[in-house]
Amino acid sequence: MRKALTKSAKLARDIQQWQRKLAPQLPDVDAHDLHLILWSLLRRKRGGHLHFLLRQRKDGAYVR
Amino acid sequence: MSADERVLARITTALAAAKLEAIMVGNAAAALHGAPITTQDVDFFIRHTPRNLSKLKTFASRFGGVLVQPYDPVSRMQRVMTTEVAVDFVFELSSHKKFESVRSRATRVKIGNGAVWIASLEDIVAAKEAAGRPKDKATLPILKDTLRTKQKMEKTTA
Repeated sequence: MRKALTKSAKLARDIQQWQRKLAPQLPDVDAHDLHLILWSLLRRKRGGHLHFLLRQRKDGAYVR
Repeated sequence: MSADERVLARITTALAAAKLEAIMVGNAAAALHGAPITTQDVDFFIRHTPRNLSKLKTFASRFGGVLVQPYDPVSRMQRVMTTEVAVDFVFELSSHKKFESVRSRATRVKIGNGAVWIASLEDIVAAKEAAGRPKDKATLPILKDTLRTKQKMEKTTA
């Protein structure tokens, strides 16, 4: 649990650092979108599990 | 390994068993590049040859799916479907880029015990721009932003 928290904290710090660098260079990219993109790019680089397939449950709801 | 990575590993194993040379394109490939995107199918670009049509049958059998051809006059797409996922094979991209050209920019990504070619994010964006369907237009902004972010990150670290 503590290890996972440390990993998440590191990822959060890295995203923040990248966002500070890149936001001025990408002024037309929404800040929340940029954060999401950085999260998605950086977590993959750190071996984060891949989740991209949407599945429909029996009740009709779509889940990832 | 996540459930999605297990699905990709099964696809990769079946492709290898069928000896089918394929390049992953579309949203699944974009997700492998790190784009924050979801999809319900996995798309592959293959050459349109009689041999590949036969290999598709082998792939379907090895993957445990059914080979069907949805009506699509433009791309002559073939689909291998299971209850879990649809694996689509196209013989042409809307951008009209040649297989060899797309493969020259593709990267090999390890999945499970195998590996798969994934088209460059630039080629994925170009194909979606050319296709111009509503579902492609819907994902283009986030794909383009991801591409620009990746390019800026590479320049910054270089």
